[in-house]
Amino acid sequence: MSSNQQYSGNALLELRDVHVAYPARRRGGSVARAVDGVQLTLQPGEIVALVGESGCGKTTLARAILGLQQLSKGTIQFDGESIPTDAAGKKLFRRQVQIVFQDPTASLNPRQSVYEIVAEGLRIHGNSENEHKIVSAALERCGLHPAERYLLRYPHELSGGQRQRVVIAGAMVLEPRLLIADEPVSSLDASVRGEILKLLQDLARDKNMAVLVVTHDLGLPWNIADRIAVMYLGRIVEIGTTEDVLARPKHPYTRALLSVVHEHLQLEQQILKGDTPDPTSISHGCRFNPRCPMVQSGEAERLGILQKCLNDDPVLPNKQNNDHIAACHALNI
Amino acid sequence: MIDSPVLKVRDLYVTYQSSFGPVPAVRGVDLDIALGETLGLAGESGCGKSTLAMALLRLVPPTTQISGSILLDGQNVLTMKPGQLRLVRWAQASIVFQGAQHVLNPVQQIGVQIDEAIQLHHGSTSSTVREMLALVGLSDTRADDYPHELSGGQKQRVMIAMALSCNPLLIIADEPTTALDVMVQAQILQLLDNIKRERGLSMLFITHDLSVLSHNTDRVAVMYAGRIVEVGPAEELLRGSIHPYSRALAESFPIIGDPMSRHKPKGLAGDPPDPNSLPSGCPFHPRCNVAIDSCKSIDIKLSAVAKSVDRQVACVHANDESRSVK
Repeated sequence: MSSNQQYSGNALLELRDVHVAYPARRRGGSVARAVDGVQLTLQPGEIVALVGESGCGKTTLARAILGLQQLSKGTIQFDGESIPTDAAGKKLFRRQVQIVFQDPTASLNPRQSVYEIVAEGLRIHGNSENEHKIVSAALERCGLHPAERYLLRYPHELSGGQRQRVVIAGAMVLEPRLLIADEPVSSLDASVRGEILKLLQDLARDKNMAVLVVTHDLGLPWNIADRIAVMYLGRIVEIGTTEDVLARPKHPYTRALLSVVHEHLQLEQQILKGDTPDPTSISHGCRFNPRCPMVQSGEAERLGILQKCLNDDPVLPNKQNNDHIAACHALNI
Repeated sequence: MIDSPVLKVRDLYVTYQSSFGPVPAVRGVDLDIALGETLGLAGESGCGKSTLAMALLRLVPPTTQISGSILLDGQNVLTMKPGQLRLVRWAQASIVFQGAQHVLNPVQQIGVQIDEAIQLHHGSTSSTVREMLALVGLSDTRADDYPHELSGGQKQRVMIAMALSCNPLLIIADEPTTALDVMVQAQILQLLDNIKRERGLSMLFITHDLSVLSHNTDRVAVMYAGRIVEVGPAEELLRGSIHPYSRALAESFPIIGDPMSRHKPKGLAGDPPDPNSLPSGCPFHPRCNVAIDSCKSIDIKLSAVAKSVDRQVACVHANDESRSVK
């Protein structure tokens, strides 16, 4: 731990000013600032949803936490220590941090049986005692019982929901302390969705495992997350408890996102124009200003903040863990 | 208008031939869509909703058996000769497919692709391509672009332009927004809604996501295992579903702000049935939490509910006092 930075003692994961930039594809092109200054902490056992449109950097951020993506700036601390770079340290770290991807069909090796898939992690991490017992227990814990019925099956013999359960069981055998779930239900059928979310929530509670769920679906955090972080163009623009953010959104982007979700009927629909924004050309001033309804409707001008919106990059205020904060000039008048 | 619907489907069966034997994908469906009306068709993968959509224009493999009748503007699609069928496709009913990136030809400019649809089915001038692009909110300089130069939302707009290019009566939209971001999805839904209103189009809107149906449809039909299990006015059905399956489907999308669903994700145990081996009796009974013994052997037909004029439900409990509209 460097002397000029203080990390809160009990956080499991702590991100400070994390930047990830992808170099330009061709000469003269611009750098993509995929993650552009993110602060985030996760407590043990906490479920945090990272919400945003595609291209907002949420998957890059997840990769950075896993140590799969080099940071261009900033620090990530897991359990009070930086993510290791040596082979032995990496191995230990990866045992504690597991990931579940969106598409279970793509995550599973079609030529491995369920048993081999779930046992693979145990073998890599040299824990082959009681292998059969651990694998069966993990499958049953993930809702595939009796486990014997599934052990020798291959992925193509399972439904989408069952496949995702196998993926989760494969992550759980290593008893991770942090699980990153990247759109864990978006490729699954509606009726199966709730069951998988319930499983994730129960696992987090029972094992005191922290979960970072990456999603574009705002109903998901309402179902399972303790806190929500809304991401826009590489930055978290609003964060707080799920109740606070979804019931009283502060940032105009969050309000717009909520207004187009049809299950949320209290807000007047505010459809933002244009495509998902481009991280190679982040606008000057507030990064949301080209699409901001407050700027477009003239409200920002009436409030006397338009110049700030166009010139100053708003920052998230300092905060305690559960405070509800947003990076918008309109909140500081 | 119901007496002269744009689309009238009666007792439609669609059975695929596979190496395992016949696979009944659609098993006796009745549908009506009036002029200017939008019917939402909801269901999970494998329930037969896409098969139904394709069968409406006979776009199924040649070995597939189709029976029943499909009356499109009074004419039976199933008995049409190939030449007549070609005239009906696109000019009377067109499809907006899901996954525009797989439907558009990657090595052809989009203007050419839209024009191709017009030429094949109608015959027209190049100004129409520009009109179509403008209609879906794309600038006419886009006509020279290739699909990879467009975003997902723009590609879906091109698909909509193609579907509208021959002025059809009916648009079949098969999961038109599924792969898109929330905000882009809202844009596309709004676009479809505006066009539908301006042109007085009828639409069959197919989706697995019940939540997108509440604002965009007049009536909703819920499909399970190749059959419609509940149909009725959109708001009424989505607020108070009667069939246990449609209820479970509605509950799997939480209402944000509703304390009942906070920290309580709801789902349905089990998996959608395999059309190759459907359960006996009511095909939903293995997953149903209110099934009674007779459900294992007796398959209840879709029939009107006592409580509401426009509702039809296929469930033994449909008329129970406690299960009626919430």
